[in-house]
Amino acid sequence: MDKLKITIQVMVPPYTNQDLDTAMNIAEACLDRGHEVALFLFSDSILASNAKVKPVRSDRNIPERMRLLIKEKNLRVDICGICMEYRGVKPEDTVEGAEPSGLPELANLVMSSDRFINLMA
Amino acid sequence: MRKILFVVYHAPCGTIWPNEGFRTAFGMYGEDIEPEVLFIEQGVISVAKETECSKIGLFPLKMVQKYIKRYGTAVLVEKESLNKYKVKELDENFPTEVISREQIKEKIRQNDFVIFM
Repeated sequence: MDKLKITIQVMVPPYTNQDLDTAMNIAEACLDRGHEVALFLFSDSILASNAKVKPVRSDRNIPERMRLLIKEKNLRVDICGICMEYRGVKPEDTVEGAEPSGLPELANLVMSSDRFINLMA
Repeated sequence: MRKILFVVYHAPCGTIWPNEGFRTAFGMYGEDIEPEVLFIEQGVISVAKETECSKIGLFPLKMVQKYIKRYGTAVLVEKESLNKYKVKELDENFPTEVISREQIKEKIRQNDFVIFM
């Protein structure tokens, strides 16, 4: 199969809904098959990029998994900048490799992606 | 050109999604993308004449109307949901087109991507 560009947009918070887990499962599977994947964090889902999140040891660490997917598998992570400001998340709080972004970048991803997956609880 | 359909099913007072649906749709005009915004289920209350979120101190939805006019954004509303939620009169400042659930299937086929909110 040809290499595809796939964008996954998530809207809801990481430790209330499980869409972020689904998004990263899909992203990892696609990356493992050689596809290019971008994750666009919108609204409360941006909380998943906060590196200071500290879940209990038995639970999954979503920001850490995101960081590893960025570092080891080249996942692109865009974080809605206005959504960050609304929630008091600063760029220095976010996981390494995730970038503040916005609607122009989302429009560009819509324009350039072969597949677009939207997860909304 | 790409076509993208934003399907808003959340209520306008109590959730941010009708506003975010429009805001995101307007953001698409930076590229060669034609957005449409479709309201279904409780989302149809967004375009009811008597709906005014600011009356209970919430972020107003009607502020998007000037941008809808400026960009010529298509606003679609599902007929079955209007009946379900007893919406009798639509706000004329939302240039809405009422379509049936059957027509929505075709709309989904016509668009490259569909985003639910």
